Amino acid sequence: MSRRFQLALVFLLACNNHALAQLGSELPAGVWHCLIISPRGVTEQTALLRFMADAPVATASAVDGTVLAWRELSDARYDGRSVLFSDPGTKQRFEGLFDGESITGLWRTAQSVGEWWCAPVDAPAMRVANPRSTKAKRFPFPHPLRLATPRYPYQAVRAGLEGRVVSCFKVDATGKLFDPRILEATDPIFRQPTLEALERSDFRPWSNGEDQPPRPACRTYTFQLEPDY
Amino acid sequence: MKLKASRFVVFVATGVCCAAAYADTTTNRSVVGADPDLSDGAMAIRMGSYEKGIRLTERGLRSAPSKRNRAAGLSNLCAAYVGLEKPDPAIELCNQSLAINSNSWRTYSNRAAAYTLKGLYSEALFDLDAAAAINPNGRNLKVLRQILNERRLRPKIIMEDHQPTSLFSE
Repeated sequence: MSRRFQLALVFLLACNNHALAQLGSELPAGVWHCLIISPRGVTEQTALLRFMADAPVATASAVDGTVLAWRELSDARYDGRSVLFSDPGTKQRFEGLFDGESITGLWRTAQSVGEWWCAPVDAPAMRVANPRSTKAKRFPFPHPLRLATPRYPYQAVRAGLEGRVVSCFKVDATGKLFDPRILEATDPIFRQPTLEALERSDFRPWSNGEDQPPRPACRTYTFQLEPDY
Repeated sequence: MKLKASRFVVFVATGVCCAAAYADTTTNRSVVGADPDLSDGAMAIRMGSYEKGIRLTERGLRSAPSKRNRAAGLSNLCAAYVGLEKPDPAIELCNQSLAINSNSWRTYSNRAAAYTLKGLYSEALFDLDAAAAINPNGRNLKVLRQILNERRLRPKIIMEDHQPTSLFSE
């Protein structure tokens, strides 16, 4: 019985190691720009995450286009779709789904849970020979061209309801906004007006060429009611 | 939109007032047997015949009713004047009613409607809170609060882009 158990254990470990070996080779290597959202979407912070095949995940922040020192996190596990790693400093455990263009997921600690979202920071350019380079590539900023304001839902006004919606999307080289996603909505009533406003928004084109990769962007709408005395 | 809201305030107020003639101050239980003029006046106000309701209620009040019925009658008159869109006499009558019975959520609600008509939204909110504190499930309090919100709250939407400007600047 004990021998059988040992054999089973060895078999399981072997399978697991095989899987991990496979996972490591398919990591979405490169530098990602990420939005780490606090529980209930109260605040968010931006951070860079770097995934490399043979190195732990690293994080850094950037000031004036210069990436500050990278800090190493844990090794990443990747199964072809979901990526898992943790930050020993903050005790956050990150789990996200990679859809080929972005990573979306949740982070957890013992007490709380929040969301995170990443888009590549010009992935080809950042995957250069020296991946530990501290200088990030500069991008043309997609300037908003048409800013649509969401309508405040009538029912929300009557109910005295305020809220906040965090949405992320991509902008193509012609300035067209696409693939909008709601990362956080304090109340579902604000989702539809947000999506409608994003649909009516666009950005200044930065290139006519179709080979330009889309730029990630996020926008937060805060719905407030002010007493009108 | 404002006109609609105003009409709805009137509806709320009359709905509240009618019960006031019959009912206990803190519950919705009917207490039949009040002065006939006060009862008929309350019914007339409920049906939207505000002048007739005022006439009957004033006659009922002249017949020296009990303290409680007097407070209810004054509250009904307050509601009738709200119905006639005359907030000033309405507020005065509600004040008189509250001087007799300061624990009537209906009277607070009627005065809140009068204040709403007058555009005194903070006073209306104060009275609405007072009414809800006495009877959180008070009929039409929720509707009145919605109307008040619609009138006094100005929607504002703040937009913030989360482009990493440090990395993406030209």
